[in-house]
Amino acid sequence: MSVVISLNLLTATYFSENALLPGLVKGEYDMDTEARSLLVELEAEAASHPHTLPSAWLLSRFHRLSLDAYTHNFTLNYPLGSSSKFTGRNVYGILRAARSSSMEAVMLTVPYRPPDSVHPTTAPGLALMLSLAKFFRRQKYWAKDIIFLVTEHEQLGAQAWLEAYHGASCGLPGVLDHGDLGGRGGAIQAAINLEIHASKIGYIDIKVAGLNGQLPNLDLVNLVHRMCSKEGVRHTFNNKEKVYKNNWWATWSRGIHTLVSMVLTQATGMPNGNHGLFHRFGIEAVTLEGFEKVGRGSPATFFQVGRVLEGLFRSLNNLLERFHQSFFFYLLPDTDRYISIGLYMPCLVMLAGALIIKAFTLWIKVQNNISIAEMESPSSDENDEEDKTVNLNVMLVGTAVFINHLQGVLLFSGTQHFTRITDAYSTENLLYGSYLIGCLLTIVSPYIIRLHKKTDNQWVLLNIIALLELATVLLAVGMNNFSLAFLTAVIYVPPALWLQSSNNRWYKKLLWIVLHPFFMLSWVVLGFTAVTFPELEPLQLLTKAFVANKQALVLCAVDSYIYASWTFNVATIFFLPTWSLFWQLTQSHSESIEATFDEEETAKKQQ
Amino acid sequence: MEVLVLLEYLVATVIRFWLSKSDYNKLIADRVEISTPLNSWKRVTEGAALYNVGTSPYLGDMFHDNPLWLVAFNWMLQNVPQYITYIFILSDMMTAHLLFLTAQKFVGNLLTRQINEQKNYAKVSRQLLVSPEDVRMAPIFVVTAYLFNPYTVLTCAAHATTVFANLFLAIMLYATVNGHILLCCTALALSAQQAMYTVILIVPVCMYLAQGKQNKTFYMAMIATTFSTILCGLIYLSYHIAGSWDFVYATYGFILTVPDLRPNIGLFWYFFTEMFEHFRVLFLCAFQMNAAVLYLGPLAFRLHAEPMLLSTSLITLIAIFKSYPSLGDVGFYLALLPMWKHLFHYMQQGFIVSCFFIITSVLGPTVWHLWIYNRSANANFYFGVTLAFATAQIFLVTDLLFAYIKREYAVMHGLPRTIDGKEAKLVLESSNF
Amino acid sequence: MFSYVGISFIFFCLISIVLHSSPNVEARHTNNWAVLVDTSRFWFNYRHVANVLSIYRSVKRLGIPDSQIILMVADDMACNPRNPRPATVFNNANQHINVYGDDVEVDYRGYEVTVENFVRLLTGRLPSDTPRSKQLLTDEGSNVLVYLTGHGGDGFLKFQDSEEVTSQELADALEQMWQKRRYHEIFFMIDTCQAASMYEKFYSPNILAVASSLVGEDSLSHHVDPAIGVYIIDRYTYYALAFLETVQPDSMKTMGEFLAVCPKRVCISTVGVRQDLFARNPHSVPITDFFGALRPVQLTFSSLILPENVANQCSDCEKSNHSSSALSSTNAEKPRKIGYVNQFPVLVENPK
Repeated sequence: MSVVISLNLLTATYFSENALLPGLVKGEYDMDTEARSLLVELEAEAASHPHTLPSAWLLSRFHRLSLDAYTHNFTLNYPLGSSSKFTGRNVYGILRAARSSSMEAVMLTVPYRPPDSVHPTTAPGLALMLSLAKFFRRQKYWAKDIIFLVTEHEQLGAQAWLEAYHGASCGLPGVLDHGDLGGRGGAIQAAINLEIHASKIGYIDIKVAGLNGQLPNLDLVNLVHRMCSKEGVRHTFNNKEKVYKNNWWATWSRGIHTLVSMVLTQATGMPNGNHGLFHRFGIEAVTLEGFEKVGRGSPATFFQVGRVLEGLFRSLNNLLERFHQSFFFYLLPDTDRYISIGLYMPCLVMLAGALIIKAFTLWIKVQNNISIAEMESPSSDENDEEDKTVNLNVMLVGTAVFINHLQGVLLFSGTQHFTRITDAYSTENLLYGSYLIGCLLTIVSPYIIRLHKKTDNQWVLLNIIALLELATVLLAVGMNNFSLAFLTAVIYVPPALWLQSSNNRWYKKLLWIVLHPFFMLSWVVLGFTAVTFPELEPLQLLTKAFVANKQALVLCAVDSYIYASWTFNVATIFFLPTWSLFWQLTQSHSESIEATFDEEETAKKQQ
Repeated sequence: MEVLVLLEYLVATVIRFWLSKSDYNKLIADRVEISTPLNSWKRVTEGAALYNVGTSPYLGDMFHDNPLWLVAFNWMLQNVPQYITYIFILSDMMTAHLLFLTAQKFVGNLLTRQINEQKNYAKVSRQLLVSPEDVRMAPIFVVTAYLFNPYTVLTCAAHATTVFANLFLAIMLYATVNGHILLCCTALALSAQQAMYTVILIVPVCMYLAQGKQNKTFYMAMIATTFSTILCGLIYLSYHIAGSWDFVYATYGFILTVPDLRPNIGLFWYFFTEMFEHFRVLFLCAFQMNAAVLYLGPLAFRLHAEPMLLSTSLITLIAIFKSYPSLGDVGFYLALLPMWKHLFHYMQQGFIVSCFFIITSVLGPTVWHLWIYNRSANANFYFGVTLAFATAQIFLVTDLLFAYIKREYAVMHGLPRTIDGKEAKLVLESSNF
Repeated sequence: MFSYVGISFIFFCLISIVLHSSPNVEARHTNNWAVLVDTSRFWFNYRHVANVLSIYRSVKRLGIPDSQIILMVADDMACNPRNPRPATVFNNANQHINVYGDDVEVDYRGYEVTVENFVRLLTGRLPSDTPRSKQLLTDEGSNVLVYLTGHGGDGFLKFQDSEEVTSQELADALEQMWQKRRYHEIFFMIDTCQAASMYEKFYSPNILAVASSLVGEDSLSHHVDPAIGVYIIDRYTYYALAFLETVQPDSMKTMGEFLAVCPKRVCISTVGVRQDLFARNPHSVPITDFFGALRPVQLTFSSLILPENVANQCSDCEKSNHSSSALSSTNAEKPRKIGYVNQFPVLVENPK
């Protein structure tokens, strides 16, 4: 993998879409004074609405620009625990393109954060958006509608608005009631999500990772970087700025750093901004997050960032069809370098291929075993028996596989019910507890079910099935979310190759227990907590990680219900059963111990 | 064993019933891999509705089944709408049982023939020969492969009319091995009303039924005549029902000219969307030749001693190359393979082909989702997967045919380098123990 | 009165010269046509529309009437909603010249610009109900300027977004024109990538061809208008237009000078010229032979006496208008009264 990266760190990005005409226009935006006064006004308004969106003020602002302005109400029926309701309200305005039919639209969105929000404020972004709306209103070159959307409750508002716009419901029916919209524009082709935290901006971070690891078209990402460079705004990807160094090692290690951080972000399958929810509707979107300037040097002001956005929207205005020319599958080691699917996919395919090759060698072994058995028993009676076992073995193995998957499905479909067992404990505790029990059950199940009284061949067959299933799931997940599949493959493939069909030693068992998906979540959360709060004492750290772990589990489940994020589903329905298939193998004993062991060794050597 | 088989029927029925009645039914029925324009139940209901209001369903682009089937389906929809699921499941069970009986009879015949001919055989390993055990096990494998193959299960759950096409094929095979000429010809003609390509199966049927007869040519001509008469009769009946010849273009023409390029697991749609319009006729001819008649001559010549294998391979090839293939067709021929259990020893690519089947079956819907819903992939991804799927199937059928030829040679001439082979195996064995 | 005589005099000289020269020797044309084609659509191809309108502007200014200009434009940039200056197309970021002008007569527009229509136009194989404005009504005395611009490659030129004309097809179309005596001389100009590949296959006589780039070269755009946000014109056409702006209808500039326009230093691509099919030396061919509608005029100092009442003898005129025997001698023998000529005066040998 790293060889591939080092070879291809140098693949520079380029524009595939001719129609974009990136950065050819001279910026004309000059309403930065307006934006600053709007910010003052907005902050005063926000102070009087500490919890909610100042919708009346926003509506009047949009109306003053003679935009079509509407509010949008939505309701969330919380899927876990005793059902509770949350409501929210979005405000949006549509600037109609005067000289063309409203067939297409582009969007500018800002997630509004009231003063009591735990997240940093986005009021400066909102002020900038309003001033841009005023500026755009005066231009006559728009070929597409421009929709200005202010959402409430972070991603929830954006999701509800998108569902209402497209008349679709993504998550579990009845969980998110998306409500109705007063007005629509055309098909949305692109969206820019703006999170500007200050009026003096140090740098703009461009976020791409979307729901389920989907990425926006690379052309859009390039466009944003290009516009930022053009207007002299410092821009970063995953908070890493491009640094020009002659030292290849420094460049390389920095590239690896950026790449790893991208892979980790993407692997969660969670969007790292509101943009991530747009992708599934075929809308290309990125988030521009502007951080406050700290330290010396001149900051970027509303003037420059406004021009960046003006340039972006003029380029998007030029689009003739939706983004389709450039890559949708890529990894970014830098702001202007990319690795295409053709280069990184082979890494995953090789890992999955190793599993398949091992399965193949095992298969050959089974074949040999059968033919040897046949040769050794020339009398027809014995042969009969042999054949019968071959036949039954399929049945037994099939049953074992079926039961394993049933466990996963039951665990998944029970999620909502677990949290409604009792009101005595919090949702988090209930869910965590029930999952812990469920996972302990998967661990002890081989002892309970006692299916491991099988012949050598049956174990091998089970092993083959487990290997093939792991390989298939990895490939299928990799098509959607490469990072998740790759990390999973890196963690699980070597031990899966190392495990034998039967008679595994204790250290292998231990290793496999440690790799239980449920425990993996804990390790990941622990590691993340340790990195985020390095100052904590070990005990404090563990407590914090434990709490975070419970929250993470709830969040995973809730995301699956509201946004139809499938990380949780895949983990419970596929990864967990595959894990327990291998776990059964580690618990197995077979009669012809020595023979198997030897053969395993030779097979491995051949590999 | 009988208990086991009965249990299998029961479990398979329950699975099919559950899938048909669950919420997944619509999801399954809308999959392009399972429902094609030719076999989709949705289109059947549409066609029946048009028929009821007195509009010819063949004038539009909705309905492509034969008038005979239209009448039958219409009757079902009018009179027993609540039992349609049961009819589908029952048909599938009948198919499975007919295949079971066919396999039983056929492998029995093989064994008898082998006993008669054994004196001509070279001294070979026992595993190459059909054993009495095979006669018992092969039908069970056949029926298991039909009942629990996800492809057939999903096809039945989706109410695709392929279920009935498969039933007629199964009747045809059953009648062939039992020598019922009239039943065989009728079933084949009925099957050809929908699938059309299956008409070429009359060749292996003639060959099989004429085996061991005195006047072979006369006998074959007689069967062919019977078949043609029934076929013409059915077509005329269709005309009588439909009231005009419009249905010919809407059914046979639809199959031959491939106007509907909705993606499916076949090879037509992608080529014909990409192709320049003026090459269309040329490639249409080439593709249809490939699907229907290209392999008929050579295979019939080579496999004249084993018409059943000819049938199997032709059914397979049709399922791969026809213009609107669906997974139901694939499931059907996969169920026929265990009849050739005695060839498995020589089949080398079974594992690879299975891997291909599994992976493409999972990746297909995945890339479809990426293409249609996420819009991040494109048609090439999906086509790539279906191409891999088709390649795997081609590997499978060539492997089967090669296995037959190799076995035939080995049985007649002895295993080449038998001693070496055995020694090599023994060496491996001694190292093991 | 005298001026009328003078005008008629010149007119007759002119006609006598034309009629006396046989088509092959010392060829002179009788009329000028222009076929100007922009093959690409979409906003980002603004420059191609600007290209074709630049040439249109020049030929129109130099005297070819709209009725003899076939203008094919695949997209309407002036009215594109993205155009911040509606109803204009500029050739220059400083908005020096609005090439869209006040009256642009587009004959084939939008999706009418297809390979089929283009080839049919050249070869005259149009449906009988085609309006005159969409027909190329040339004859063996026509000098035709063919200008193409768009996106091309080695051996083809893309039309719209879906089809292309190959160099062989184009060469065959021109040959068909020659065989059907639909032209006298052709000046073929093309501004596209690898433009020279388009004229390499030509094999018909009397074609002078110039291309903005050689095979393997890209033709580049000249500059961006930051207000409109597009590349505004291509280099070759930009310099060609700059040159043509200096040409007046009475200019003595030659084709040789025009072929030297846009040297590599400014064009970046190499301008390709093919003149082996062209019988004359470009340096002695006036530029107005192709870009204007001026017919060659020669003054004579011997006096001519015009036939009597030509104006009244229209019916006779038509009967005998192809016989062009010794005109001056007839006139000299029989002095006649001078009269006004018809709009299309034709001489009569033996008026009765």
